[in-house]
Amino acid sequence: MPAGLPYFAWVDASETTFGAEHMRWDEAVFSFTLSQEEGDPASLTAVVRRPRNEAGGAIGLLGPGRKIWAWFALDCGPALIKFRGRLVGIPTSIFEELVTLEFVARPFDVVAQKEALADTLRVLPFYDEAVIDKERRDDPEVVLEGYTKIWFYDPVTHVLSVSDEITGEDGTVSFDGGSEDGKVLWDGLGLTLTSGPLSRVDINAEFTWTQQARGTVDLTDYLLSHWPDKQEGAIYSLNAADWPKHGTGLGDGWEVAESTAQDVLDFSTHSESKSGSLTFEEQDGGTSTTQWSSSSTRCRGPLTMGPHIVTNNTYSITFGGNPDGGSNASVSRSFSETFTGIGVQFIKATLVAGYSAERQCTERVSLTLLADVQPILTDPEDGEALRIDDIRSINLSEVIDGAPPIIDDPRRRSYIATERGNRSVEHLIALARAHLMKRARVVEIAFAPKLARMPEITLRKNAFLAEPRVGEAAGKIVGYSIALDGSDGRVNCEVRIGCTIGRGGVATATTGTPAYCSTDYVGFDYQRFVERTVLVDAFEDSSVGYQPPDASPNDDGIDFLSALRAEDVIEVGLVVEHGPEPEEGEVPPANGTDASSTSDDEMQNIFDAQNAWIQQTIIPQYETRAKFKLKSMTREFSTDYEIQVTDLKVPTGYDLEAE
Amino acid sequence: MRGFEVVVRPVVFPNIRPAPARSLPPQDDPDKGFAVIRGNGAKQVSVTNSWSSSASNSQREETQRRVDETRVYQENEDGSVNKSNYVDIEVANKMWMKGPPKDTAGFNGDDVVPTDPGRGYTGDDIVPKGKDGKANEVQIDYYTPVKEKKNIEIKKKNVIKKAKES
Repeated sequence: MPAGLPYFAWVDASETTFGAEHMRWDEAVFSFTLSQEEGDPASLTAVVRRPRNEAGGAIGLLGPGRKIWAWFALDCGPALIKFRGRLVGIPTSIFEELVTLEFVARPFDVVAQKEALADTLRVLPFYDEAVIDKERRDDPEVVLEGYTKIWFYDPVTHVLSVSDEITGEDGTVSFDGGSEDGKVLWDGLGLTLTSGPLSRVDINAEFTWTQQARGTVDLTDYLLSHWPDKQEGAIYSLNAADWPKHGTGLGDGWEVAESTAQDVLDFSTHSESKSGSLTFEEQDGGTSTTQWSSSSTRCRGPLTMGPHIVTNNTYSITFGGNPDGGSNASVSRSFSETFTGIGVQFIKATLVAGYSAERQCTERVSLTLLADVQPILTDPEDGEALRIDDIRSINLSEVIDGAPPIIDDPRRRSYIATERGNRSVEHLIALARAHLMKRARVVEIAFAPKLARMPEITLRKNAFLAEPRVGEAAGKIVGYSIALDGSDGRVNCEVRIGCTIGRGGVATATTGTPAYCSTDYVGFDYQRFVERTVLVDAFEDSSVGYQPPDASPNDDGIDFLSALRAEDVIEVGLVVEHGPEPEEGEVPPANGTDASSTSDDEMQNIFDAQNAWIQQTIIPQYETRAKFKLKSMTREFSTDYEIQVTDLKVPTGYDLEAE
Repeated sequence: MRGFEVVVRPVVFPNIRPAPARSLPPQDDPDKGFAVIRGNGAKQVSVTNSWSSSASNSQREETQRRVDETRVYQENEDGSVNKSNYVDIEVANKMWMKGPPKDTAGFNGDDVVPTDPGRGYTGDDIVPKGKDGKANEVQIDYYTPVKEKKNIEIKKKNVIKKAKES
């Protein structure tokens, strides 16, 4: 068949494989345009003679029972350009002799294919679910954010794939300008600068998690060693009842997990009574009798004796004869007093504090990626910079759909310094890299190859062009078209390539300086390296490297991954205060030793006054107020990390600086 | 051909990012979050002390005595008695001593042990009782009677002398 002959066959949807039976002319094609732009399905615009039935009447192309799928092929000589598409709408110019049909090579199951393909693309560092809202994780459009790839719709198989925007996966079509087929037509050559290159991307991202931990810290030794008034391990001037009980709050996120307290001294009282008598019978028959009795209440604990009140102090002497004979004399005395003593209790106590940490931690990561590209502006300062600062993570300690939290262990003080955190850094770099790479495709060259080369052209390939007017250029094929103008019978071919204007090269990894010991002893997996630069392995072009950050959390130093000691959690040390000393010269109310002249009412008044004086003056000086502050378990912390990144090496697709 | 298909270039929508993390109020008040242990180990304890003592002394009083009226002459060194030189004395052989009221069983002849065993009871031994029914404690003391010697002459025996008379 002669080159340039188009075939058109209406087919069923099930006829997905092109065969010789499709090389027919179901419609008389007057002219056509077959084209495909990067990221879009291929389309065909065909101008055909208006279809008619056998009787010569016009028929509707969208009538029931009519086929809407078509195979289109163009004989290019060595091979066919093929296209399978679906009629997408009502033909235009339907009442004219020539009608225009629009076809698109878009698969019916594009959504399912895209979702299936997206599943395979959700890999770090190109896709990081840590910075994607969980409601948007199923969105297939999101997955390409970190890639330099774009959807590719195969115009024949309708298989959806992705293709890199810088380097095509299916090889390079070479137009070397030397061979006959390697030459391009004089007409149709064009070079445009699509936009200025993006020279820099600044990224600010926040990674947030809730640092969660539960545990206990035994504060007993700390408290006892820092309590100023203690005797033999017993705390002064507290009762066991004063000691914090289980569940009592001890500060932000702290409460008593276990505690014991025991009074050391017993201030209960008991009574003692004694009495006795002694009688002497004298030789002359006289008698001398002495009787005594005493009673007292005693306190079992030590008291500091305070004022006392004499409640009774009486005596009597009688002397006289007996009317019945004999004589007698007697003397008696009664005395009673009340002492008020002050007993000060000691306690032996233990205290284990329990914590429940819910601390919001944020790591603010910033990086700047510079593209090593050729300037197209006389002043590089005029170049564009992109700032991306809306990147936020989900709560990295959150369990979503039963999966382990991204931070793995919510007790961590740092995320970004972990292996997983490094992947997030690489994702940020991937985002910046994708923007820079795409925008580095500044030069777009259009040229007109010979028809025979067109079957080689797909949007998954690169093209190399050597042409005297533009020199050499290499770039990704970003679009093509083949058009037949029915008025003159000419077939016009066009291929457009996007050429990056980088300076080429690769980034270099450096081992840095070991911060601990020789690398002969332990390597990267064990010790930190200063100014170590690693390449992002996922980028096969070795285009960029970065220095993995060391954990440097700006927090209060608590490491929940280790057993906590009291010293680790004390923020403000123990301070113990007692009440004010009574002023000098204060004398308690008392009645001395003379109770005889004191009435009962006066005695009660003295009692009341004395009790009031003790409660207001003496007791308060023993008040104990101990306080300390434990590090908050509800605080929030924020740490800034500035990631050092190498310049992005961009391939040289077109050398604007060539001499 | 643009316009027939949705452009499917990757589009990053602003709302793919998670919502900002909740922001806790900064805890910049250093006075908050302290653990405080308050208490007062002092306790007011009242103790009492009382005592009493008494001492008494009682003496018996003689109510009557029974005496022998006796004359004692001078006995010379050679053993002769000079009847012209003598003194008269009363030698008590029984004395009634009365003390302060005391509960006693009284005398009924059965439960009182005679103070002079073998002598038996006499009417003098009757212990009178007071109006209150209580007996005055009366103690009767006996003394060895005086015996006559060459210079000792008993003039009159067993003369009762009331205390007020003596």
